[in-house]
This record gives sequence, structure tokens and C-alpha cells, in this order.
Amino acid sequence: MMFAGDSLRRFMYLVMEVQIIAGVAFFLWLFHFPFLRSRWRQILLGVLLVSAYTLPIDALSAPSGWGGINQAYVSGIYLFGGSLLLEEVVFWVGTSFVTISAVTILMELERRRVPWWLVAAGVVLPIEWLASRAGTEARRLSGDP
Amino acid sequence: MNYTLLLLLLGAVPLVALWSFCPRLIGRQRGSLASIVGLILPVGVPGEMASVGRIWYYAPRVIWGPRLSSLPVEGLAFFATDGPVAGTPAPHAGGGK
Repeated sequence: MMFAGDSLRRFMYLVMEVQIIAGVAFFLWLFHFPFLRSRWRQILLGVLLVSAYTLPIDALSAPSGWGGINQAYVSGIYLFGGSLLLEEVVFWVGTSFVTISAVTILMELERRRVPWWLVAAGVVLPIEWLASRAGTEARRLSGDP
Repeated sequence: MNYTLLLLLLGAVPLVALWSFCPRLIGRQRGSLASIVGLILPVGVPGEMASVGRIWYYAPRVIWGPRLSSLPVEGLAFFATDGPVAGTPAPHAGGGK
């Protein structure tokens, strides 16, 4: 029983990361699936670009003694020749994916002239609806019919 | 390597380089980048605060000292720069749409 508890605890950080990253990604893609699917190559390329920069820096910084990891809470699975913990790779790849998906949505809203203070709402509101509301408001303010 | 240098390498250097060489990228998406910082902080910081001191720790010699709860201020700076670093070049990586 003790062994099972220890084994589960080793995946606590990984599960916590996946819960947060997958939770946010789920909502972004649920509300904007057709839009994001049409840009999947752009998103994938962005994730590769950001990961190719951040992962080597993270791997180089690890041996420099920035701190330490409690081995009881991590998987102990190392990638890239033992230089990076699985959880670190999941963090960089996962957060890049979520960030780029979100920025792709937000930029589309900005391109459609949705006010900057309103674009964050685009995470959970349809792009078309927000853009049409912004257009209506702009016409009202300019006095156009 | 202290944590500030790591932050400079991960955050400030690519941002300054992007903003210097491609200022139009920033001009076109200021609202998006400000929004992504505002969205990342409330999602990322609580998880980080729960992890620091339990799952990992920072060696005192690599951080300045001030903390928000258990989180060193550098951790906040990291979450503030992470979004713009990933978000600035990415939507243009495939030539845009």
C-alpha cells in the first residue's frame, strides 16, 4: 500500500501540469475549434519554434544549481539525453501550445478591430459575435446608420 | 547562472530582439499581448505558488529575496514575459493567415 502511494505521488506534478494545460486548451479549442483547426500548422510551427529556443536554455540552466526538485513528486523520466525532466518538457510544449492558440484567437479579434480591452473575452466568446458587436458599437459611435 | 540571468535569456532577450527588429509585430498585436499576460497570471501563478517549496525550491543565492507568498518575484516576472515571448512570433510563424 505504501508503495502504491509513493508511485502515485511521483506523478503528482505531472498530473497537476496536465490538468492546468489540458483544461485551458480544452476550453480554447472547444469554443474555437473550426478557427484553430484551420490554423493548426501555424500553431504547430509556433510550438516547435518556441520549444527549440526554451528547452535548450532550460536544459543548460538545470546543472547550474538554480535550486532542486523533490524527487518524491516527479516522474523521474528524463528526456534529451537525461538533460530534461519529462515534466519540464510538458511544461514548455504545453504552455507554448496554449499560449499560441490563445494569441491566435486574440490577434484575429484585434485584426477585426475589437477594442483591446475586450479581446480577452474572445477566449470563451465566439469571434464572429464579438467582431460584429464591435462593428455595431463603432458605427454607433461614429453616427453611421 | 542565477534566476535573473535565466529570465533575461528566456524572456527579455527574445522580446527586445523581436521588438527591435520587427516593431510592426508588436504594433499590430499590443492588445493581444497585454491580454495574454492578464490571462496567464491568474492561471499560472496559483499552481506555481502551490509547487514552490513543495515540489521544487530555488536556491537562495539565485534569487533576489522578495516573495509573493512562497513565490519569488522572479517567478511573477517569468509568467509576465512567457506569454509575449511565445505569442509574438508564433502567429506569424506560418506566414499568418
